[in-house]
Amino acid sequence: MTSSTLPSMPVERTTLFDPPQEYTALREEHPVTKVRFPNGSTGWLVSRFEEGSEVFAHPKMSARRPRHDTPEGEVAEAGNDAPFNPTFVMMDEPDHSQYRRLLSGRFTPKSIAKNLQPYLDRIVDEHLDAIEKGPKVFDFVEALSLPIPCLVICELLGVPYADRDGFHSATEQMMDLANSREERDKGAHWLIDYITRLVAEKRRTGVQDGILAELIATADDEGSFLKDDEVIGMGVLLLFAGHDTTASMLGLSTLTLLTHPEQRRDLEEHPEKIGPAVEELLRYLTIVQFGLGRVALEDVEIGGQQIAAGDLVVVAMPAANRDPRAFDAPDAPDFDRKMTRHLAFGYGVHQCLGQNVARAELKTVLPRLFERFPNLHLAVAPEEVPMDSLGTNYAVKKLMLRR
Amino acid sequence: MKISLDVDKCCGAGQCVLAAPDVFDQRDEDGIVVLLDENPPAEQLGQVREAAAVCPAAVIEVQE
Ligand code: HEM
Repeated sequence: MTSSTLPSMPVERTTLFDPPQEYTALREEHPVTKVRFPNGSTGWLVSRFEEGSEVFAHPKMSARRPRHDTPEGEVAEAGNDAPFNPTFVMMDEPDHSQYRRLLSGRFTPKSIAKNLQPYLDRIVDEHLDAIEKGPKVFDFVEALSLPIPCLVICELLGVPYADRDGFHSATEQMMDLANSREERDKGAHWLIDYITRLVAEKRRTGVQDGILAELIATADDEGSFLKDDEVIGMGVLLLFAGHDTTASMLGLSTLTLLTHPEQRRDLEEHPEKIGPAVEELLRYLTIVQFGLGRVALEDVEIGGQQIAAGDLVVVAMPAANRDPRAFDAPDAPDFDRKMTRHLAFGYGVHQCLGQNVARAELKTVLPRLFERFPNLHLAVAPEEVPMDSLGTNYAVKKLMLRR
Repeated sequence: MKISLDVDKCCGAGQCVLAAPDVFDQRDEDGIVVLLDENPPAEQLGQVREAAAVCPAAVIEVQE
């Protein structure tokens, strides 16, 4: 089959929360199948849970992959298009672990509870206070779902308090889809420059506050293991990986609760269910909407299909997380679901490093929001909420609420 | 029950600690798994099995 006759990867949604409808048939009939991706490149699409997990866990599936979800024509090689060093996201073992382990101590549930939770509690309450003092109708995205993840990254990296407003404006400029491509790139470059200056500043002063300072210290202890561009790369990576994703989950989770009164009541009456509720929202929403790619390093077989060395394989996590083989009644959010794991954070050694930070943010914001504003509801009809269905992460662009 | 760990593969995601906090911990410096109890009581089996199943890097092996 030539690439022009291959079916396209499904991208169009017909409902607010479900992945594209074509996945239902694809998952049953062609769980591992050749497709054309949104940017015109071709490869395999995996839509079942077990097969998807197998791809992520496979030692011969490399994380050094080209993009597949950029617009038609942009088939960039891994890393070449990034204006910063993407470090370990694109590495395989054993290099990947060597880098990831420099950060992982900061992302354990224990470290987060001790070092981050008190700050998180404070900023969430401050932002809820500000909403309470402001107009009755407000944009949740601007008031909470963008600033909280941004401040959390600032705290983790060790961005001085005085710089946090500027840092946040630049992230807003970068992420606001109403801005032109150039405007957004300008925001991204400001942030990369800022982190570059911050690393230089921390090296100069030798202060010990946050991840960047710790990484610099590791570099000094162990000779020249980490170069400055790698420290900068890790800082930028944490910002890019941790901000948009968590903001998207905060917005969509709130929209889900506001449009599912039964689940909202369940959570209000049983605050102890917040842990399982957050896991279920992660599964149900699976915001990394076009999935993640890997490249086969040698010929491998997945789900009965022969995949050749060099082939790109994309796991459609939104479809895999709705696989009825793995989840009963997968299309309904159910906070009593007995679920061991899902693929919203990926799987295998690259599974999200920041997952426990994201959980902490969701578990702090959601209950407090509904506790503080018991009458909270949508200020527009659900179908009028503007959605971002083109970005890497599915998200609400704006979420007007009445408190 | 006997638990063995392939620590070299650990990526420090912390899933085992969430599933079975009495049996697993993580090192402060790099988040690598630490076994708190090599022979946990039988009533922990459910949690330990869950930890093994949820580990993204297949580090944990359980023998009953
Ligand atoms: C709900 C929010 C989030 C979602 C849905 C999410 C999703 C993901 C996914 C699917 C991956 C796997 C990438 C791959 O296998 O190629 C990943 C990796 C990663 N995430 Fe997250 N993420 C979230 C929040 C965060 C936060 C808050 C941070 C940091 C503060 C973060 C930092 C990272 C890093 C550093 C990686 C690369 C890990 C590696 O390659 O070893 N993420 N994330």
